Amino acid sequence: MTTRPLPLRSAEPTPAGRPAPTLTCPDCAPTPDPWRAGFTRRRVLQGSAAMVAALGLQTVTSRYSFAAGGEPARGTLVVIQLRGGWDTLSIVVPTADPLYYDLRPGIGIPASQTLALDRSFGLHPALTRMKALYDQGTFAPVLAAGTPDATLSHFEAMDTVERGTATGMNVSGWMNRALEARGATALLSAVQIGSQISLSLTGEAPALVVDSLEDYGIVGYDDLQTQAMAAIRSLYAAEDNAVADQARRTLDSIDLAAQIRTDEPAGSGYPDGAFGQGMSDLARIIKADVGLTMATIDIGGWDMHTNVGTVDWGDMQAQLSDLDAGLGAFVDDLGPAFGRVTVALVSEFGRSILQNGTWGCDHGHGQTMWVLGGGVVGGQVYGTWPGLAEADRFTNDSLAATTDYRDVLGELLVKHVGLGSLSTVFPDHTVTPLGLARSL
Amino acid sequence: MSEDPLDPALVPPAEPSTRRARLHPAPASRRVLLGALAGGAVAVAGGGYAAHHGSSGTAPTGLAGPAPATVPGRGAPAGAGPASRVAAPSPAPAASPSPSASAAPRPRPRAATPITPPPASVKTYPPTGQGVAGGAPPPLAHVVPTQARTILPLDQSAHLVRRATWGVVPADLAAAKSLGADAWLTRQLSTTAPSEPVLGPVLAAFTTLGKTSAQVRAMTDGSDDDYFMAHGELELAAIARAMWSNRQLYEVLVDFFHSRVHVPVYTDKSRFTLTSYDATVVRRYALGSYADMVWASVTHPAMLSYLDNTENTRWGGNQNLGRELLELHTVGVDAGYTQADVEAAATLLTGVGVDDATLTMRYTPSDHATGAVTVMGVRYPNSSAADGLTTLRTLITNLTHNRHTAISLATDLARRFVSDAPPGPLVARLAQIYLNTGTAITPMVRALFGSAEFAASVGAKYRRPLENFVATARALGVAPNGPVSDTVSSLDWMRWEMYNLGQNPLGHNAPDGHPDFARPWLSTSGTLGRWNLAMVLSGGWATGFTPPAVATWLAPTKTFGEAVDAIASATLHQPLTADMRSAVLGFLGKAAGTTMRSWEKTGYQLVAQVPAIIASGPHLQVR
Repeated sequence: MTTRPLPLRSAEPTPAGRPAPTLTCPDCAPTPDPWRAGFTRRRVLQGSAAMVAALGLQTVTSRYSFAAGGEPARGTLVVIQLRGGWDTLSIVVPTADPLYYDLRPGIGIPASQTLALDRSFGLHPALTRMKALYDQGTFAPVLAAGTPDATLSHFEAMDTVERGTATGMNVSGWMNRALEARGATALLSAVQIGSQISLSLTGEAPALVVDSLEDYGIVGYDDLQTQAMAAIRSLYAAEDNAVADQARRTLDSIDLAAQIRTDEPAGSGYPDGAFGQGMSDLARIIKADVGLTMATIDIGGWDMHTNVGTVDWGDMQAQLSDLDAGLGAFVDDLGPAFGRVTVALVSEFGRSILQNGTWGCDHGHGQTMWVLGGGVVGGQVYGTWPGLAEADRFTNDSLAATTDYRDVLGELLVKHVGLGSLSTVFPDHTVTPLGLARSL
Repeated sequence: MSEDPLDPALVPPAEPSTRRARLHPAPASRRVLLGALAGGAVAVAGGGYAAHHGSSGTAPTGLAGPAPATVPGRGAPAGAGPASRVAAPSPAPAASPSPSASAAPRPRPRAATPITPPPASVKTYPPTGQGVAGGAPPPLAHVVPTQARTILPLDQSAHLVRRATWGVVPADLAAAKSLGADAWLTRQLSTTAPSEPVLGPVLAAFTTLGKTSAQVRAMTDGSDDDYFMAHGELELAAIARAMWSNRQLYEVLVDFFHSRVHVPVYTDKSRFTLTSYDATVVRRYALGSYADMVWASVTHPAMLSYLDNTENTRWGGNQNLGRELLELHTVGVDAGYTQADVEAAATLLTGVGVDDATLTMRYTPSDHATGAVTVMGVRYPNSSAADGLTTLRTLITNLTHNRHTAISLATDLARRFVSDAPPGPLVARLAQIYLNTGTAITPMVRALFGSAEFAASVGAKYRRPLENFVATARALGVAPNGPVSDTVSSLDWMRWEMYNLGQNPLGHNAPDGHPDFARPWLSTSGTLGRWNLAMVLSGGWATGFTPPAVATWLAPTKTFGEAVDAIASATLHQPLTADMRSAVLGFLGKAAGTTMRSWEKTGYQLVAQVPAIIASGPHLQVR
């Protein structure tokens, strides 16, 4: 089925000899592209100081309470950000489209080996846990999602995805604005699993960065850590300023992490590596019920210009095995808590439909997003397939996007996280829900 | 108005344009996609994203987490520093060119109208100059600032050293006291480089410093080991200079201007050209004239590539550099320029590109858009493509001599050296000096440090992550240790710790540079990160750094109370309060008067943990 792709601007110059996608008037003077504006500078709308947020690390202001525990979230949204541009044609395979096999003679996934979702799409065979969740109705893919930004640059595309807006509010990430809209102020309302906070979680609302739950604390005091923390707390006892407030909050976060470690032992069955370890930590924080509303974790390694492979060779099957095992273990570990957890997977873009000369694919646009969770209306494939024919492709012979990625995230924010309005999260987009979530 | 600084009659004559023969057609596109990002290989361009070196199964151990028993280093994230390349210190001097004052004396404009800060009711406050990105810094203060309560001593000599350096060390304290502030500042602002017995051997390990862009490319291109090797050396050199240079104020100013005319690391666009940019734009003019610096910046391949001016031609314009030239580098967002001004500036910038063969600036007249334009009320006939660079030079001269630029730069300097909400009257005075001296930088700096507003600002600035790290290192007396390759490895580790905390020296991933006020940096992970780094330094875990010389500090002491006092005195140069002293003794589980046994005097608790606790306290967090 061919559907007109979203009116997206092509910002990337096309290689010589190929017609540019004519989405805008070829004779028109170039207009400033707001999505291009976002990545090289931040603009503050004059007079909108109230919504200005800080770029860089998370911030705290005296407006926020420092109480550990806080209010329970209606639901927890976990965003897994795939870094590099995942090749979703190898992941949610268009088995009924003969063009796919014509255009990918060396790296097409044979239809008979996919795990069928419906008559037209099947999962890569490494995704056995995801298939089981699909059959249980808690997992759904969303075909051909994308941003309004046609860039093929990793940096620019990630910037766009994570900011979520081209207006002056793009000084913060969309997840942080959602936290503010939700009024989530508990000590552990938001967590970045990893070592550096990502742009999507950056802004006024505070978030913790947890690289390892087991090791979260001050290094080097060995069995005197409690005494050292008491001494540091005393050093700040007579100080009454933002620095001292932050020090006290940090000490509280260490205590909270210790409490979570005690109350929630680590689950089993996670794959080795950073992703498995991160999801294990995240499950413990969720089960501890300390008010976690938003979480995010990165997985790198998806930029498969070479060696994407098929079923039993190449980089994709290895990545997907790790992803499948980690998500499966996470769902198992959560147990009944899975009922109020939603996981969304998104990358900065998808990849070209065409196989390149090194058994891989170059950058593209449309990607298949994933959603899984207790409140997801799973067991079906969402979105509109734009088709692989040349006339239907987008820049660099990639999949056109037929669903704005914010439609997926926005619906989850409203129905699962409990936002009343998305006007501050995605101010320049009206979210059209796909109906993939039940209200929690 | 006859005293209008924008009066073209007051503008010094522009220097002759540099005309280059047209060698090749301008490239169709210089946008280079990040082809090297496979399998978590390389640090992501633009910085700010841990994923590509952190999340693909080989996560380096950061400090907001694990407790390394031995020195883990940072397990070679791809894009790792030059440690693998350093065999022995190179004999070639790697020092950057000495900064020079303004090249030739130029006729000065007549004194402009005295600058008065706009009244509080004017709508243009609060965002000014550099602050727009990532949130607005506090606005200029309109009340006379009085000294706020602070943990730091109010001694003016110590205050000067604390602000004008990367961190207090006894030698600077003694010199400032004996020479007096003026003479000490004169020495710090001298354009003659002092000898660098500690820093020199470390810098010699960085073989790309001082090289041209073409040389850097020849040295580093095609190397899959370290795609951003030259950038890494710049960052490590910046950290080393902050830690050990004898010209501290100069290095602080270099860091300041790297934020002001910012081109970041870890982007393809500046991969080979940032080395030259650091040397010939920022380091050359940090003690010179701002007009010279901006001209050098706007015609340097690093800036031209970063802000896409290589694609700004009459055949298709790109306004990126034109906009940032106004918004960030010169007049600032409050100056009231319009979109038409941006387009006009971009028009005057057309044709200024980069020659790929030599990685130098190349002006292509046939790419230049001619026709009269007006920028901020000044008309540029722009009738000759051949004279395009001359026209551009006039634009830069006018913009840098504009009173809004004076205020913008003065505000940024005051925000760096006085307080987050810089005092309006001080900004006005500094701006006036800037205009009176034809955009000279050091007179503003001297006047700033001599001001009453500065004197009343002890402890007013929160130390950002890099500032806190270096100040802690200097407080603990950290020096290079062992072979230079070890020191380079330790610097590399610190670079990634700064990256995680958001302030690797050249790493801000937007053109406005690292925010220079407290709020963006106050965070739980940031606080935990710096406490952990204090332990790394105090415990001597980085083998390329010396541990603090606690044994020396404790030599004359007998009791635990004396020991704690000695450590506080050596690191903080001030005594702890009685409560704080009790807290530290409580950690030791000892009374002040208890005599130390010899093994207690050298034990880990006293030698490493106590300095780390003290360094985690409030004293080193502010300046």
